[in-house]
Amino acid sequence: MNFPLLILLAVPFLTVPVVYPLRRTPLAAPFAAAVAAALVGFLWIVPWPLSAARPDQNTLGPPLVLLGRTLRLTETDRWVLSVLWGSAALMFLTAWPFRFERRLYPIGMAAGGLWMLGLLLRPISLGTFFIGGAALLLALTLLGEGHGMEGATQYLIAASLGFLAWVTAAWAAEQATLNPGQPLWTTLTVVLIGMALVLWLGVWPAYRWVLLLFAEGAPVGAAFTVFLLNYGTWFWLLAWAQEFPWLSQLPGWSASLQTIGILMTLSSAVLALAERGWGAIGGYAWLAASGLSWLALGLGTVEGVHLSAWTLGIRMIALIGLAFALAAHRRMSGSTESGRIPLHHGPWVIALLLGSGMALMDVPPFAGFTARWALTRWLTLSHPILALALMGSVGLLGWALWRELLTPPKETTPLRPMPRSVVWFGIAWWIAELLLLFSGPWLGLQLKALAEAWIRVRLIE
Amino acid sequence: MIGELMILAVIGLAGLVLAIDDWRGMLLAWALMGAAGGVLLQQTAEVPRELAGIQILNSVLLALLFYLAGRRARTTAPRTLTARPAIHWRFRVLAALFLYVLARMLVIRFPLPIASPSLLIVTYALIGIGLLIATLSRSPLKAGLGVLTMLNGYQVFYLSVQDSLLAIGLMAGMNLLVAFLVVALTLVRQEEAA
Repeated sequence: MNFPLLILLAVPFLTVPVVYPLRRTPLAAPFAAAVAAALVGFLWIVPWPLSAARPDQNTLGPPLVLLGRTLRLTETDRWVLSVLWGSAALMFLTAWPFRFERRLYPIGMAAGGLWMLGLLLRPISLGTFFIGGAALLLALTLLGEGHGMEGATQYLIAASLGFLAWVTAAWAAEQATLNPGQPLWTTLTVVLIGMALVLWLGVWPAYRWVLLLFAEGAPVGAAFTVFLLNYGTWFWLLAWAQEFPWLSQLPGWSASLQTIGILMTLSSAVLALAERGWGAIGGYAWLAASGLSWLALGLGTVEGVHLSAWTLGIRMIALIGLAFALAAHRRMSGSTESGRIPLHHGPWVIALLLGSGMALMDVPPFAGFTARWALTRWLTLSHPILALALMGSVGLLGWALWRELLTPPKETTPLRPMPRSVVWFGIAWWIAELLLLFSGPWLGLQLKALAEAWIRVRLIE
Repeated sequence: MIGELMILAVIGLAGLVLAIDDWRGMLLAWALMGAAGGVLLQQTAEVPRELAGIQILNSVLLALLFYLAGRRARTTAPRTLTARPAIHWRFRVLAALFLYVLARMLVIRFPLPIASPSLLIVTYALIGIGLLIATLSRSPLKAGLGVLTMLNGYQVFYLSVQDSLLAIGLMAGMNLLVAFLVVALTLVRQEEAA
């Protein structure tokens, strides 16, 4: 029996009944963050004995058998779970000053625990239920005080449909393994995975819920949801590729990922011009930024996969900054509409909104610029129009962001004073972005393990 | 013949859920649809009779749960339940008919070797109608019923092709989770409005 793995799986669920009664107190956020950080520490401190399940995969300790099904932790999973729980800890701390984010702590722990179970459980068709359960459960974190209902309902629809697509894809993939040589099952698997990605990542035309979450819901809850669905799906897809090695060899695989990436990046930039409000523009900026990661992953080259893994690290800080700024904006003015808070009234909030928006758009000198520049350079020779469109999308989003800043002040109800925590958070965030700029190459080296896992399964020449 | 009648009954009841605006009538139609789906499964050789019975019981219990949630929401936040879709009911009925025809065409055009065609018609039609209910409705309760209609439709197919009892149990668990979320969304709105 692999007791450390059992502890790792049980702790998030054991935390929920402790955090739930504390959710209205200031203790809930640091407690949940401490547990999430402790899980990361536990993953690296425990001396896991190495045992090879497959020549290319070292398992940390023997597999755990529950109800006749196996749960196994590999070297790659250790990195994956560290990124997931480390980011979750940061998110919990980000939500600390805001009362309307109180549902995030217990639901976030439960959703993270379910996602972890889904990632480690084999066969993958059973893991799908836990992943789907986690995605559905997140609907509760999206509700603020008296707002966010429409976004949560739309999210529930997208998450349920996406779950059905994943379950059917898992069934079709099993049929494809059992009946080799029948193209129906492989085609069905790729089509369904594509549909699931469209619904869960918020790809056009199923993008509306992302904007509603940022514009109307609880912003940190929204950020946690899009983070888990994006990062979690990146890792989940890796688990699929490891379980069904034929999947990433299919011609439609790379094309689907590339199409999703291009659609996310370009459609967000164009649609942002027709939308107003900090929340909506922030949502579009996030979609465009995450689209770049999927496009890089879909390129199918070693550099592309490395770049995609690296962007996972750098996007997190920008997303957290955006979520905090939107939450502070909502707390001061009751909404995320532009023109509600004049610059002199909430300079740190506006600076954080602009900074995080620019970081998500990969504007220099933010660390993401190097990723966009590298991708554009690779694409310039083979797809010059696409490379141009990628650079142009930054301009469109930048214009949308600039327009928000120039919106004339509206006569509204009196504003609440700017929370003092915004100043401290703002200083910490700008320092973190500066550090990210210098530590980017180091971070890239650390996340290389994730990229290597993809490269092994894809057998890239 | 009986199978064909049951298919029409299930899809017709789903169409009623789409067309009816009153939340109690909608719930009754939804419960009857779930029960009819269970009866349809009982007539299928691929599905154990006990599972079909559980499906019927599940639908009735969930409808009861929604009724209790609806009653609570009615007193303080009536708009949660009475928000009507922007599209007239006649067009919604036409859309349900169109989806039924589309489902039949899909089954002929893209048959799945393992699944029974009659069950696939129900699955496609219920997923389509459920999606329409969910996207057209403005209240969390009706949107949730749309999501559950989709899940019900999918379950008809899943029960007929899946051998693993654990997987079937987990699918039923997902149904319950969605039902819990719908009730929570309905009552949270009530709490916020109060």
